[in-house]
Amino acid sequence: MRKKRIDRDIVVILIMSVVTVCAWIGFEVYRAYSRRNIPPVLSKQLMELTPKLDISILGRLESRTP
Amino acid sequence: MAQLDYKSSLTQYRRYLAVVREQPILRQGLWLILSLGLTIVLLVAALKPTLVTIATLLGDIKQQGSIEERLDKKISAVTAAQNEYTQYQSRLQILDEALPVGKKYAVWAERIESLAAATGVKVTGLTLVEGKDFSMTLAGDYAGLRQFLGVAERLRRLVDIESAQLNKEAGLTLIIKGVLKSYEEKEN
Repeated sequence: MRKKRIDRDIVVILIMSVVTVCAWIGFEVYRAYSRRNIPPVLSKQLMELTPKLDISILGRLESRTP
Repeated sequence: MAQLDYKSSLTQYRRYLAVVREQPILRQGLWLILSLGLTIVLLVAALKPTLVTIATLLGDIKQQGSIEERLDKKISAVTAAQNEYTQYQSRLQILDEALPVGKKYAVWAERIESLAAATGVKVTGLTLVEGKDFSMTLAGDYAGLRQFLGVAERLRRLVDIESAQLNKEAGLTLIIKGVLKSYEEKEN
């Protein structure tokens, strides 16, 4: 009877271990999927650029005394 | 004698079978424990590295796709900027006069000197700290000083005039303090 109880405890511990391992694997997979590792040079190259010149500023500068 | 041993062994075996028949869970439990142990080992040793590698590759593919899209946008923006630059290139020289790269204060100082001569005032002192913070002392009559200040404010080279102080001692003196603007490239 005692042996049967020990077996049941071991099975419960193993099932909990399987659940824990599955959760661990899930977190590891999510972390690997969502990891961002853009090199800094590329980040600088990816900075947004506004291709429009403010022509009114040029006009205002031209109207000033040289 | 040998026949007697055989009977004894058979009896023992029957007793064992009886015990096993009474407690079949012992055997099933053993197989269950071994199966669960094997499952854990396989999960940790085989499945986890495979899934992590697949997830890393999928993440990299997604990230590279996003980078490619942003780089395409950047290329379009650079092309548009190049066209814009070509279109207004002749007018852009004025930016170098208004906001030169580096502290080009000599040209500005010469311009102040010629302006003072043109308005009939005398520059009695001009100090520049680090090529940008300036303090200028001028002497002359009120009309000349006023004209000088008016023109100096509207000079093409950009300056921030922080204060203008008019003193009357032996004659009229005007002390102007301000900051000479220039373009400094940002690190990031």
